[in-house]
Amino acid sequence: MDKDQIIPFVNASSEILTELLKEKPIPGQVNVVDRINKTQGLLIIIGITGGLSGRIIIDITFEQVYQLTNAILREEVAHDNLELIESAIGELGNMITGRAVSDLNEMGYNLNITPPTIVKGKEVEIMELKQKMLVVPLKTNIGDILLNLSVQKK
Amino acid sequence: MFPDLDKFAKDFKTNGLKKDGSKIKVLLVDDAIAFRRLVKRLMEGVGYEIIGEVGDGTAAVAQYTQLLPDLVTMDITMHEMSGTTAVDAIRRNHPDARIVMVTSLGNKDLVQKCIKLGAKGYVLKPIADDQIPKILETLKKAAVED
Repeated sequence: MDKDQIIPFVNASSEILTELLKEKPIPGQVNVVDRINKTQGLLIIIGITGGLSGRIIIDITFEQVYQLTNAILREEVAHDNLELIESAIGELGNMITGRAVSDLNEMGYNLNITPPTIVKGKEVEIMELKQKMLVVPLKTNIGDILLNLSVQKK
Repeated sequence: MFPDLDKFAKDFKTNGLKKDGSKIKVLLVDDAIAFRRLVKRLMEGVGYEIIGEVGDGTAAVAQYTQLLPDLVTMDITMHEMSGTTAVDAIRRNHPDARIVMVTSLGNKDLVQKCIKLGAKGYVLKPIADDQIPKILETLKKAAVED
């Protein structure tokens, strides 16, 4: 994975989370893995197509889901309003990936994104068959948010 | 809550009222119900009237013809039909349609493509507090300016 293709995702995540949480996240130690075999609770998965292919997987806890939903909607959302929460969290993925892809498109890649998929559950196993994943923890004021990134040139 | 929407509601440049004092009628198009809810609250807070909301481009084209809104807010990445295709389809039948793109995608080529298709403004998600005055101005300009 090329550093220039990864940095826009980290920057976009940092910017969007700063706008929502009013405090800039601090990137932690980056790890390289070939599979995710335990999540924090919920995954937002968005595919990247075009000049690059791959995906971004945002791994967050249920508590973070509620806090981010409230921040996105600027209101206290009931925990049982699943349709609204899932929509807000999918939109978080769209905002992060959309901003990163916009930056990469300015660099000449012709990228698009797929609508978000949400996976719930801590005991989930996800593996990339063709390449490894980069895991970037972002330390925020609501705990660590994990970005799992895998992108490659087509 | 949104900061001080009252002050924007009093300002003609940013409120949701026409010159004659009637409300600007809006169709919201976004596949995320959460974002439609947010935009609805923001716009209703300054006087717009939301007369319809849909979650994909195909429904947007159909609803436009039925409702004939004064303004459309249009997402780009949606299932079934994208926002850019929907803008093209609406403008072909209604060349005077006033549409503002509200999207997470902000690269220059895409913005230019949407403007070329006839979109009158471009708003980037998320809606940050410090962007609200500019967003309200973009929406109003698109709705009323010749």
